[in-house]
Amino acid sequence: MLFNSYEFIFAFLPIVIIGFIACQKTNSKTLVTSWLIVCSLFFYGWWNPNYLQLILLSIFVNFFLATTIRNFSALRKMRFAKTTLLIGISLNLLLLAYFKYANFFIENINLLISNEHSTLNIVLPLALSFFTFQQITYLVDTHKGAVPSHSLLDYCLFVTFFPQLIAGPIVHHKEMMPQFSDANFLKTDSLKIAKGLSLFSLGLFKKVIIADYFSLLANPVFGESSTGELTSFTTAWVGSISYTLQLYFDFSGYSDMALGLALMFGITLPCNFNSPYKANCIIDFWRRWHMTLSGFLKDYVYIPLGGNQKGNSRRFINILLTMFLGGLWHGAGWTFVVWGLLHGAYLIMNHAWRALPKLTLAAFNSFPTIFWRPLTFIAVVIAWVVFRSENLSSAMLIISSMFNPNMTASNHDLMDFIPLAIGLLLVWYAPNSNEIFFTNKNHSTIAYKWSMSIASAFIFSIMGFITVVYLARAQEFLYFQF
Amino acid sequence: MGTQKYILIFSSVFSLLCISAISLSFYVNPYKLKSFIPSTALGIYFGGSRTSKAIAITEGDYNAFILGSSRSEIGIDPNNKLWGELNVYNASLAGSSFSETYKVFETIVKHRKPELLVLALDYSLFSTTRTTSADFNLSRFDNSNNDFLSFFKERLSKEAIEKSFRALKYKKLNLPSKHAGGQKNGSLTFTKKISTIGQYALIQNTLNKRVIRNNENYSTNPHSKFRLQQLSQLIKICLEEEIKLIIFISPVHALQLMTFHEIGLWGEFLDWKKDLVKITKNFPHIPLYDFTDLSPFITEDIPVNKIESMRWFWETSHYKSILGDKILDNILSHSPHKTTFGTKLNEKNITTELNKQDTLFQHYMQKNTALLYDIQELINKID
Repeated sequence: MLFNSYEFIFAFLPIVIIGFIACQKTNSKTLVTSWLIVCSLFFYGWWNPNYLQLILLSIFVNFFLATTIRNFSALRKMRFAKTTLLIGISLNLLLLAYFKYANFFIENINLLISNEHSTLNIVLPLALSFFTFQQITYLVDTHKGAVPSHSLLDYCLFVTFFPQLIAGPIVHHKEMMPQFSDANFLKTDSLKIAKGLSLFSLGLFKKVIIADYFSLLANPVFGESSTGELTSFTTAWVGSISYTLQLYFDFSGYSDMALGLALMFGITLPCNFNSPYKANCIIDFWRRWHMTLSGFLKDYVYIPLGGNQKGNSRRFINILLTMFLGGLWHGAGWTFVVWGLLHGAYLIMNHAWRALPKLTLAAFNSFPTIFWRPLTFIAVVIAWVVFRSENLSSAMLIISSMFNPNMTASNHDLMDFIPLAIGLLLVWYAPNSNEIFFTNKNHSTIAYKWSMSIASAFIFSIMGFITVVYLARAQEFLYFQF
Repeated sequence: MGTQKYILIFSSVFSLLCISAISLSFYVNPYKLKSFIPSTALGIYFGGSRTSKAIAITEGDYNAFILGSSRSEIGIDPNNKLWGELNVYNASLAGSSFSETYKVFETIVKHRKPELLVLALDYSLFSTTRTTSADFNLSRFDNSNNDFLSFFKERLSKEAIEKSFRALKYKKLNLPSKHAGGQKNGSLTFTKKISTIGQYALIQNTLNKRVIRNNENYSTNPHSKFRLQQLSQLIKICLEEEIKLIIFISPVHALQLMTFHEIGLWGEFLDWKKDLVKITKNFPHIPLYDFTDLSPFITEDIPVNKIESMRWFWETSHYKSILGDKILDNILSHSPHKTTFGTKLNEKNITTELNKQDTLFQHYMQKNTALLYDIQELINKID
């Protein structure tokens, strides 16, 4: 089920909220948790009921392994605990490897040895990458002794909680479990419901009205390049910037919806975006884009690899390796791998830059933000072209057109650029959802803070209505494929 | 302001707006849905949309259907006397592919067993590159739309609201309906254009935009084998369900065939006809008529000034209802008579027929070098 569907908005969500409040009235935590788990599984099974078995099996096996690790640790049988952890990680990675990477592997072997092994008939289960990562972190932290014992019901809800299940934010048990145990979980919080409704409306608007509009500009350009057709200089820029905006509004819209929905159930999810296109360098970009994934990669890949503790060369290799895995996480394709490596290279350049002697650096740092921000943005746009393209050669076609003003003239008129300009103004100058709804700090040029006023109620409900009217043509979320 | 008041205002405004939009579409009923609210008879303007046609098929009382593209939607009259007692609906969809035609067929069969189906084919229906229209996914033709979803798409969508307002506007201006029984009124669509720019300019425009520059309909890729399989499946289901089926290839003006030739599609067009015969050869009692053979109708003179207009065609792609009547006369008449229009294709005559058509076509090109030159100029302009 999609958040941006009639079934979800007019049937599923109202039923779940009413049922949730009714369960809260009984003051039974088991009932509240069970209700949310059943609803979340229904939400997941709506897409394909067959994969319910997979997610349930994954939950039970991981819970059993975590309990075993905890028991071995308590008995000081650390070798057994470690072996169980390794089994757990391997099982999770095997699941991911089979469903997500098996065909990619077969195709590349075929290419290497000029063979024709047929690919497997596999459909990637929705959210597999997300719930696998969540459970690996749980196992690793249990082994570290950083996780107290939890009930199976709490663990189930941690993995399946529907607002975050399909496309994140990737939640950490440290952020979620305490909230399930909190006494407030059993109290209806109307402030959170009010905030959640507004945030959900905003996210829906960003996805259905803004992101889907930019997809209409981006898709033809990438479609043409996939057939080997050369695009003009202007078209290449229009297509690539449109996709850059589409992806941001799509994914951050989804995250807003997830945060808003979770709030309606009294749960606060971590923020996933902090105006990434306002970043002044690539390091800054990765602190702002898909923050929960960046955090995961840092804590569970980069730091275990040695991080920056073993000299610069090793640090750069670690960055490259982490970003390679980050790329591969997004999908089994060379475009994702190259996208990850490209960002790895950007990050290395950024770190090398910072390592320059202070005197030289000071001279460069005297350049105003107006120089660094567009430079970072262009680097990000180029990487998105690789990320979005069907294959590397079509990505190269678009990138080469972007840097060749002599390419044939395009048929764009001034009106085509107005939506792009508005989109860019929004991502560069408007406050993000975090600034609007959560923090008291506002770094944006345009300041707006949500408050419980009649005007806000009108604005967000009208936004919700406009979106509902446009739902019939709404498209799937981009991050569903990952 | 209290939180509960905020939630109350939010929910009330949202609900009120949704209820208003739904009420508007109930009142105007732009798609002519069966409703417990008495119809205001305003919903007569959007009979051509996929949503309307799907509703007409699922809620109507028809026992014969015309399937095809915009050619048959404009050209074939469901109220022609030759249909006899049959209650006919023109379910042809403008800008469709055969995959859409097949879904329309599935929708028809799912709701009631028709007595007769007339299937009007043309090459563009089988183009590999032709995509499904976005409107299609809003309609009941799309299987994923259950009653719950259809309610919102037909009552609360942007399209429903927009069409409700337009219907009110058309009613106020007292404009005639563009569709009746699913057939599109060609006169309303083309007459104004013809009187403004002249028929020759309209023809040039059509050839330029709809054929030469239309890679989706007329790409150089071979026609879709998958869509041919769907045709084969459609025939099989008709046989199983004992539905009488008549197939014909819609006429296009010879100038359009000449354009096919000049953009390298002529051979592919003939191959497509061979493939159609390969499919129908096992079903001798299902006739396949071809109205693209060089008859006096499709070689009608092209007017060069603004005053004259063609008798049989609106432009090279779309024939008038008067020519559609000739087609119906051919395929429905119970007393067979000799005609100079159309030929029946079958396994025995396909090679001879196509050779004959090719020869006649080459002669036509040689005789009409001025027209040929115009087409080449149009093509070169693009290059």
